Amino acid sequence: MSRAQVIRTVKVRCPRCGAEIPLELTPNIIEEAKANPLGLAGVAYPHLDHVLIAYFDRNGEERGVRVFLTLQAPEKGLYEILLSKDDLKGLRNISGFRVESRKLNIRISSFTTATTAALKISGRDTIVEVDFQRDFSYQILRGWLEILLDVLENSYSSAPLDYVNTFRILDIMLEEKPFAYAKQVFWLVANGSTITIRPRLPEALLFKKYRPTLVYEKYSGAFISKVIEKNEMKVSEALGQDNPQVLFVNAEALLSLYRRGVLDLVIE
Amino acid sequence: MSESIIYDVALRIMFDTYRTLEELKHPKARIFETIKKDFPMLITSATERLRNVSLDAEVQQLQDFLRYASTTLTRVYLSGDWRPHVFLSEIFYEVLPLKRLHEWVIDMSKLPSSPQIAEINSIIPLTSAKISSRLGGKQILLFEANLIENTLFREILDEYSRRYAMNDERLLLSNVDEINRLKESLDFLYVGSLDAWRLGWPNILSLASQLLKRKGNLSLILPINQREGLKTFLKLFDVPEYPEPEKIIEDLQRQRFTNIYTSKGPGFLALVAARR
Repeated sequence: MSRAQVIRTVKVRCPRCGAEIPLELTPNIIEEAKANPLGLAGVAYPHLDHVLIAYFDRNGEERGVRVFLTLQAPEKGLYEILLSKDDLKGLRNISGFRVESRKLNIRISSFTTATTAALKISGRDTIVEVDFQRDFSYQILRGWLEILLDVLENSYSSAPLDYVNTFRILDIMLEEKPFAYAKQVFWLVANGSTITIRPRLPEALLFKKYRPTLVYEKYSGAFISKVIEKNEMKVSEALGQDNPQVLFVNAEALLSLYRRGVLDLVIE
Repeated sequence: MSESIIYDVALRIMFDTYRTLEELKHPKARIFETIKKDFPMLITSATERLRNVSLDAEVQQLQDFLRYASTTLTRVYLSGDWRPHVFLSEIFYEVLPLKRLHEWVIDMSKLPSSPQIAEINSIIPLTSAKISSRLGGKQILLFEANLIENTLFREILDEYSRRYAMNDERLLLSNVDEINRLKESLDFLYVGSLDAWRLGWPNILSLASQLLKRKGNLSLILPINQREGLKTFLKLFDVPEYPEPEKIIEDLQRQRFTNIYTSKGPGFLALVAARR
């Protein structure tokens, strides 16, 4: 990246090793924060045996850091995670997938069953390959995979469950055309284990009392009660490993509550 | 219970709002300039009238709504986060008196199958969503530019559109060509939200006269806000004063509206009329 594109250099102290790390804030990072459901963009800096992720808001202000241990040092190649056969059980459209993230230094692969078609798509740091058990039009697959790639390029979770859940909801989404906030649904699920749900007052109380029509007609009342009555919980814990259709609707419900200010979604 | 109780309830909430906005140096605090010298007298008499009154469920729920409305002013101002405005606009349809009036205007409206309907400045297009689920047709959502340019509001509209499988189109009220294209084409026009009330009665009447086809239905929920309490409180949301219900009916008759039916809730008027 040319220096001309750097807005400013931000020095961030790594909480694990104490190193002061210069991170270059670029217009792309600001754009990513603007497009992100929580208004944040993360910048990853792998060093030693860990990765520092610093979050910036849409004004370029630092909004916290996280540290992840790398599962395997970069010089030893990507850390491989092979999912079990049961992880994609019950899917109607997808027969397998592989995600390779150079940023997180991992490759996650599922067990693949009978395949009729496959598609591979690559970005700056991420490669996504998906195998399908049914035929779809190339346009539809391309549309969805471009959204998915964009989401995974900007995700920072290395929890296998987050990847499994992401592909489980992709399995459902493939049956409809991409919609306006699909990227946000993916992003929430793909980062589920790094995001905490925090109900807000007085909205959560008013919400329970007045039960807005759309939310209670279109999403599960039991799921909504579960998330707004608990003080805080991780998105991945709230979503669990329900069947893909339920998982998808519940992820939409979380975003719906977030858009109404009934809860905050906090990266921690 | 007297319908006037809501004005006293609003006055008390407004006084708290005034103090908060003053502390924050909120630009809207200047709205109180003209009445702040009267506050002690207004609050004393409102408190006196409310002393021995127990609020019924309708007024209690309106009180919740007005209190939260006051909270949104400070939250949006302090954080630039528009989520409280979305939530406020959504519970507008759920607090008892407004919910009852909203159901009444939908039930009273006579609609053909597959109607072409419109709503003005509704970031929560619940009316269109309900009619679309029942009768199909086309839903036109008319907006002032500041609403449709807000990313969060667009996401909410997308959510309604998707979850209710609406066949909606979003248009700018300032786009003269688009508004002309809609001339005398609507079977139904709904106006009834905080954002819609900002347009004021003359503009609402003019749009209804232009856009509704013959026998098309106008459905309104409007504030009865000439009296202090709701008058200044709604000014905080840029809602001007609306004429008394009798004057609204006269204006509609003058503009060749007929079959006018009304229903009142504390502080609010619902009205359905058909274009002759």
